[in-house]
Amino acid sequence: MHAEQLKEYLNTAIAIAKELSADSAFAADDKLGNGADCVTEVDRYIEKTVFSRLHEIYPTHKLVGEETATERGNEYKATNDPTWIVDPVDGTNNVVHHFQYTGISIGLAINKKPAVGVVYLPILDELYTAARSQGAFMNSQPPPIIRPPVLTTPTSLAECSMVCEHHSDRSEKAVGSRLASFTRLLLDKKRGGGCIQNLRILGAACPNITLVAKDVAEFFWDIGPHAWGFAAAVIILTESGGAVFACAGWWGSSIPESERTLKPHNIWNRRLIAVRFTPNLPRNPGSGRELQKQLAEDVLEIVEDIPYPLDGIH
Amino acid sequence: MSAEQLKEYLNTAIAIAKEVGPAFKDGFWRTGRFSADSAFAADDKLGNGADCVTEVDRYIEKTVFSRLREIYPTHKLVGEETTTECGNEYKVTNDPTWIVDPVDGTNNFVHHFQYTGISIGLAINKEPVVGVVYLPILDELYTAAHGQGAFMNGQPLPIIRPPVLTTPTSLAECSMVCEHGSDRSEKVMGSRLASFTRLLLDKKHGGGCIQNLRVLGAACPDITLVAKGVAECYWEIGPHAWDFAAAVIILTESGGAVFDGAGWWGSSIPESERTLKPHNIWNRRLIAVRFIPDLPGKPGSGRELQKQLAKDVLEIVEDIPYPPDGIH
Repeated sequence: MHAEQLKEYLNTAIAIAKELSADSAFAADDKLGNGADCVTEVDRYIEKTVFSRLHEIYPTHKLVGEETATERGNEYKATNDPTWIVDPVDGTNNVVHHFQYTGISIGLAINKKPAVGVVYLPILDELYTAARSQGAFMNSQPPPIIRPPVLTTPTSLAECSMVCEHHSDRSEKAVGSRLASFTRLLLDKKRGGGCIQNLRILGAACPNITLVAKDVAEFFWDIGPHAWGFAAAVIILTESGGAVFACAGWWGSSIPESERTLKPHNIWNRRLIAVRFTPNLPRNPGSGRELQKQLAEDVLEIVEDIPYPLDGIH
Repeated sequence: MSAEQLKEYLNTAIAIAKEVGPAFKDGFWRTGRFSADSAFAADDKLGNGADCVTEVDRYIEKTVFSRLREIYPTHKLVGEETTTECGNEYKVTNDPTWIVDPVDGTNNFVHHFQYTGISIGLAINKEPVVGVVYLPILDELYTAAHGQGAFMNGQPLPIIRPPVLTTPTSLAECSMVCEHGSDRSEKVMGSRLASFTRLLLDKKHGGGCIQNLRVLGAACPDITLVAKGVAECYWEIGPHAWDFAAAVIILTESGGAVFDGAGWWGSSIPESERTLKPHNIWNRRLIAVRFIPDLPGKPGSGRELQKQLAKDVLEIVEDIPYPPDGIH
């Protein structure tokens, strides 16, 4: 897939995202029956509009969207074909509470990997865009917004700010597991914790990942989001110099020490550990990339996996 | 204390907050007097990296105090940085007392996350009467004086109005803001996160099934979210008087309600004594609920619902036995 074609896909996605806005009157339905994950007329309207535009322009491309996938269950095929993956309103819970961290996510995967991504947060007026090997931008500025030397090189979790989510699965197992992981991340080192500098919860995956791309947070760890939560944000982060890995946590697992290695990220696998661009230590080329891996491993040692199955049929 | 006098105190606080705004922004973006090549110490206040202080904190507190001393030489001054240096050994009296947090959310500040600002509150007879919370990076100035309403950038609070502003009748319709804090001992972390777990869990497992929980990293911005109508409630144990003094008067003047936040879960307090206590800014505990419109045809129901939601939270959360701020 050559650069010009990717650029064209990107420009199409940008034009469609800008056409839409999430501030019209709407009704909030309860998707999960517990109030924690609602869907609104706005979600449905936006997804319908985005799909209809994409279908007009690229009739042979596949389309995967949060609302239609949710209605059909997990029964859609994930293939190597160019596949547009859309979350019409990421953070609907934030929308109904008028909390600004919410937006539209339009990603394109080719051979099942992200190639193009647009995350538009209209209330914040922030448009994030990226295409493979063509860099990432926020409102046309390249992230990270903060540069060295102000942008530091963290060498341990104690210097790291993390973004994460509690999710809408409120069963004892999932909430217990997640909050146990958060507890260990926050605890003092002498109690075996990571003593991370702070933990933030904003309520939506895409805005969270943009915080990592902007350098405001050092990393994002989450288990549970779907491909439409990751597809666009991940390419934006990697094009900004960030690193992403698959992240079934190792805490409490039977995986032997020797097999605790980082695996490449897969947007269909509902798990992500993402670390921001890390400048090299002085006179130590490549140390930034090594530190990204080290921090990711430090997190995975402390957090537990939650056994969600893959998105889609592969 | 006359309305005119309170208004004058408020205008003084606003002018001082605006005066230090540029220094705050310089510190945040590392420009001007706090540029990357200047001395900009982030000291580790607690020895665990979780609560740092910077030159910006000290500069802003020094400047605010010096202005207040010039204008009101008989008033008392309590500030985060000077208090931390002298410990909890300051007397709390009925005198007009300015209570200042020069940078609320220093941890956010050093990570360039916008939820951070300056808090200037005035307490008389130990109760908040005037409050200014200025979040310079968001360009949001919150102001309130007792009996005179609350405003954000001149707009009356809450910003969200009925009918868009709903009347929640259970925790399942509520968004809560809270914090994990910088105390990372097993006891405290375990207690806080156990409370969060119960707030989030399904009702059938004895939880509150709260609609969502947000952690933004600083008490004043959190409470402004409640004053605006974006979050239904805020619960926290641990902040100090300088975190609460200004934000609390802003919230109550917007129609919100505040109560003491000592949780009842796991305590030996009998059912009959589980009543809401008035909030006290020195007691380091707060449950705050936003303005709630009355149900149709039911005047007073909004206030009743505020109390009900506060009790629903306190039934689920645990207390953490921090002693009060200051010597009373």
